[in-house]
Amino acid sequence: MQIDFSNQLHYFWALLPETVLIVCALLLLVVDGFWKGRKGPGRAVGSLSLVALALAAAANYWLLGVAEVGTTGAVAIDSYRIFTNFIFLGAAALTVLISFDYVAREGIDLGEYYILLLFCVVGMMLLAASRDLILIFLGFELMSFAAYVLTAFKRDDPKSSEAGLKYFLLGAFSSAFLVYGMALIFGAGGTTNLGVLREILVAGDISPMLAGGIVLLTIGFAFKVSAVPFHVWTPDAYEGAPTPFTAFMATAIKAGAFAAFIRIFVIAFGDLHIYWERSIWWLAVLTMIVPNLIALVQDDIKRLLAYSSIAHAGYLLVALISANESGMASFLFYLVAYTVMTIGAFAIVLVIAGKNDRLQRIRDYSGLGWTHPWPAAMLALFLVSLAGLPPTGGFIGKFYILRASIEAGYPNLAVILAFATLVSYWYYLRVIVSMYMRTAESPLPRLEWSGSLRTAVAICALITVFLGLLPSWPLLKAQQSVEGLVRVTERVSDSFGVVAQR
Amino acid sequence: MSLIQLVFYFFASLAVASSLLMITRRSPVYSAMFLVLTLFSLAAIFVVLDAHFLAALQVILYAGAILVLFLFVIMLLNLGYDFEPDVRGRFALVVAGGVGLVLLAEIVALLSGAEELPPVDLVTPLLDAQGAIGAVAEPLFQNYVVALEITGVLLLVAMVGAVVIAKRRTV
Repeated sequence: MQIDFSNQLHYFWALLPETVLIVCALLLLVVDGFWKGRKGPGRAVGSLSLVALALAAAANYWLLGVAEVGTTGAVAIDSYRIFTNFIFLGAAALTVLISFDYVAREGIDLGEYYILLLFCVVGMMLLAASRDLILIFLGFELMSFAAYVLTAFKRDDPKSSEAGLKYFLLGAFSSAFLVYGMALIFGAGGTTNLGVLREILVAGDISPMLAGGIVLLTIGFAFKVSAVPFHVWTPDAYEGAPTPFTAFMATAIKAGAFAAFIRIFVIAFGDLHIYWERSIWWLAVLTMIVPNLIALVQDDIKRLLAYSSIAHAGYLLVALISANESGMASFLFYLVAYTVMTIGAFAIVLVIAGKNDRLQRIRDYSGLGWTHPWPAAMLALFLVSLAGLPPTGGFIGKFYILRASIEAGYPNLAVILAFATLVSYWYYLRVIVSMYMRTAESPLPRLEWSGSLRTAVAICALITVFLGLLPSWPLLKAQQSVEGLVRVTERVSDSFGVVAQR
Repeated sequence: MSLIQLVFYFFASLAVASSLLMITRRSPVYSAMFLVLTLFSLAAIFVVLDAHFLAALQVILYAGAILVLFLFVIMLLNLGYDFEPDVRGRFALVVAGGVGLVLLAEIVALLSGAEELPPVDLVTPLLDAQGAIGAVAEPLFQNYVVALEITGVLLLVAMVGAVVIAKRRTV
């Protein structure tokens, strides 16, 4: 099918996955409101939301066969969008699977939990799809509004409410930066359409207004992807949020923000690379070094994983700053690996924490390897992958990012990445050492993990190992989906110019 | 300086001054009233720019409906008796003020380098062709129709979220 945006109706086809998800979420709201069963509607709505995600994935698959006329439509139809959409939908499905136990245990088994999650996914899919600054802003807000509420979802827990409020205030603050930057870029280019902006804005002829817009956009995005020094909200928000949603925040929401980040900076402003690469270079360096050092002294496993997720944003920034095709392919590959290993790790953490999230210290994990071998083995696998050791997806992903950054002429970033990874081994392995080489102080009660949670953990583990052992097929797919997005010839000369400058 | 410029500078300085007053007043009611003044001056600037319809919307929606809501909330919640400053301590004040001044200097330096664009009248032909309302409605329902629909979803999510957080229900 051909999509031509001169016909307004074609927006409907171009946004079919989003539309499917919105309609399903609205229907689920009605189901939730009129539920008559003896038990609450939570479980049923949760299962139906899995169906909704599957339908959206089918619509997304259908998009593969759709071609678009021109590259200036407000909605992009390219395989970059379709690939990231699959990541968002998969992460959401895994989050729903690990949520069932948690919401029942913590007494927050409301249908709205899953419905807001679906709306959050719609926002992310818009972020990946939009080729218009206004739509990108609306996607951010849609994603964030749902996320603020879900962070504060444990209403009787003051920690969760505090996290929600902090996240809301900082999120609103960062949105102000974003929208101001977008306004300045609109002022400089006369349009909000990224496809048109890409043709209008050429290097060498950059107005102060455009420079201001790019700076403000960088700050806004740095907040959204929690890059250092704009990361201070992250550990608190991650610690207070319901654990399954923390997993979702650390993976899908970060991926959504990164998708738009790349859509604006690498694809639309690719020719202006020399203007933005310096500031993002520093962001990437700080984001790789600082959280890895702070994580060394963390005792709470949720905070530890939060700092680890900030550090991983730094690795993804390295892939972004490379701004070549292998950089974007490695970004997509790493995103898949990072998503499954992080969700898997949080799933185990939420099982072990027990009612009211009591057991979250690393001390509480001592001896786990002998009393509960399966959860311990799974957690060890995910931590090894997060640390980036073979034979897991994390290792291959980091390897590809290193290669892309060297190809793009950033060997210093590659060196810093390698050192940051070495530092991170300490705190990941500390948990593993505690599980296998210490004796339990107080034996854990019997763990309750239902079939759905085990399924999710098994899927995460399988994908983590698969990406580590047979990476060529997923990498090929990632490479195919970014083909032709970046203007290769001009970019190569750019990066050589930068190298020569130094 | 023509009359129109004079009017513009008057309302622009009024907007800046009243927004400064808004964020420095201690009582939230005063702040809200200064916000009304800011929004009114913005409406006047819209009139200067020939955007009469937007000016009317600005007065009716922002200065009218939304601000009345603000005042209702402030009065219902009985806010305005806790005068705790946001910035605690002299050191924080100096640092925050310094950073603010540096940013302001940067913006001024950045914008003083910008060349003045020649004046082009884009608005009058548009208004002649479509009228004040058509000029707003056509892009809204054609070019930006997706954005419009998404805004609807966004407001729904905000409403659902507010209800979820506010209503305590035991399962």
